[in-house]
Amino acid sequence: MNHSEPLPAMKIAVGPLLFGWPEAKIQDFYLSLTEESDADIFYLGEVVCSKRTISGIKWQLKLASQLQESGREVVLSTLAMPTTEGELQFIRDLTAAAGEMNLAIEANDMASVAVASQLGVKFVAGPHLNVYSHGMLEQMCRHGAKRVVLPLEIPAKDIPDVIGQSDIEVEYFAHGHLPLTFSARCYTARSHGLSKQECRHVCFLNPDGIEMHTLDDHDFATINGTQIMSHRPFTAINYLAELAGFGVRTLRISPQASGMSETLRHFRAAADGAVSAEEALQGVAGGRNISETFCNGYYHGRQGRVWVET
Amino acid sequence: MTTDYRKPELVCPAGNLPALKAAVDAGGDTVYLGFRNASNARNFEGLNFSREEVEEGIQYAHDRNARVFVAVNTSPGPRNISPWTSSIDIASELGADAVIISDIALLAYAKENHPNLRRHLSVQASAGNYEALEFYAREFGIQRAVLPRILTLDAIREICSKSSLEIEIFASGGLCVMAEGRCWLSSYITGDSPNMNGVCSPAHAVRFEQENGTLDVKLDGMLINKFAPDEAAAYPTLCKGRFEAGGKTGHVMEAPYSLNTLEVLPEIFAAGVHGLKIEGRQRSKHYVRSVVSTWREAVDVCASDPHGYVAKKEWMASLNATSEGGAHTTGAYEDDWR
Repeated sequence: MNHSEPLPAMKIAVGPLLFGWPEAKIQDFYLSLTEESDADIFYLGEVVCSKRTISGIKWQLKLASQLQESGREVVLSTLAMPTTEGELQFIRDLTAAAGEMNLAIEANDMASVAVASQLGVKFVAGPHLNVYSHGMLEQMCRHGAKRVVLPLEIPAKDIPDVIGQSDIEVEYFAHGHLPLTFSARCYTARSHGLSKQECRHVCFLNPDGIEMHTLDDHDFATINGTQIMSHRPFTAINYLAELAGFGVRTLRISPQASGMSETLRHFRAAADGAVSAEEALQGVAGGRNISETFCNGYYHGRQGRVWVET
Repeated sequence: MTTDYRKPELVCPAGNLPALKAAVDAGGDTVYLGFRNASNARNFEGLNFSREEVEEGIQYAHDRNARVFVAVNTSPGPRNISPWTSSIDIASELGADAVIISDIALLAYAKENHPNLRRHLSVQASAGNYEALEFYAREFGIQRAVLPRILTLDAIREICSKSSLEIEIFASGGLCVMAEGRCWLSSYITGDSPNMNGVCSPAHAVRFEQENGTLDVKLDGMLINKFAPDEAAAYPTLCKGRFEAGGKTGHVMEAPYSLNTLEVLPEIFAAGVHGLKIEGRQRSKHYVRSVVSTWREAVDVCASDPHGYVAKKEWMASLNATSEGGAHTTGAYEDDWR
């Protein structure tokens, strides 16, 4: 990969924070990134568990307008598995507010697609809507999608066929713990000997989730409430030129408690061609052994957990 | 206030023609099946139906007043969509009573090309609320939805009362503890997933190794369980393995229990669901005959007297004896599981 060739302009997006943090910490996190990074897009909002949205949407809208004032695009992310009337109402309220603020939502369930499409609010089709084919992509566009985030397991070489002749903006999950699955059961509460009903918001005690490993002590997963994530962060920082060639125009970096602004900086440098792919990869590794730290199997159509050398 | 009880239809699994006949003979109202390709979520070796077998199966079922649903419930990849669309075409041509679909591009295809073929939303679509269901109804004309196994009975009752659709729920068999269609655990470890390949924790990735008297179970080389010499080992599904988290070792996600809702059948009748689905297309005709017979009797008993209904011990014993983990749970249907 030759880093001296200019890449098509790539936008850098800070994905929705998937972990459960207290509001003050979320606020500090996003506001500090407006100063410490030049990320183009901020996704903001609870995706995993409605019990974390304890004080409603007002503070989130306030933070959204602060982020907007910094000149960034703000997208309000919605719940991935709404099942109760309260959760549906939360989505309706958030979508209506997004419309008033001229913002898009990130739809992570067909309920959000339905609400956005009824209210005439633009949406980003999130990674859990399973846009595996061009037919699915067209359906999303028809219902008002302005951008589509591809499913995590899709092999990168398939991206051009998914996009086809469409001019919709495509976003790729490019860095972070992979959100692999959702359940009705809260595994964080369970690991603290509690039920989901009586969870006491124990996820606030685990800002990077809880590690789950195999009985012979190999890394496997990260518990994040009702969500299971990959323990290893995925990274495609060394494939940005190829991704640009495949038609990807936005790179999602999924938030984690530490090192976020450094990661964003490395991505910006790599996307701008200011450093080589290898230098960027060494940069995000920060001295750690790359093949023991990251995974990129999904990029190559392989087991998600493996690291494939270029 | 009196409660209305709806007697639901028993929707039974068939992985091959003998299982289909067993399900019909044992009193199944409906059988669901898939073609022998990646278009369905039980794409296991040696399983599923050819076109000729589907034709014979539909004939056999229709002659006995039973129905046949064809599952086309994985997502086509970006290149060759024809195994999926031709499965829908053939199902229509052979007179299937419904197709079960998760992908909206395929729903749109079916609606446009076969408007008179009933469209059911697969559990793989993970539609767990009435807002999503009404969207599918409005846009793609679905008549029924199979709900993901993440809802409580209260939530199911609410969906039945607010949705215009027929609702089908899982009643018995293997228990997915994750939201179906939104789970990439299997491809993270093995490279193959339910969404893209129609498989979870596929047999080709499973290895059993004897290690100092214990049985180690590996999935694509990763240790997912250890069994003591006297311990029964169920099929090694990833989410039911033993792991370590937070200083504790065990079934971090779920124990290898099967779903069994016999004990809450009157509540299910009261919720107003139209279909009770029995999981197990990968199981033998003997399993299908045994489980369907038990459920036929239970549903009939409950329908004749929902107030006096009690799940009989022999029904529970029979289901436990054939279940994969030898034990059962009502899963997410009851709050305390969560």
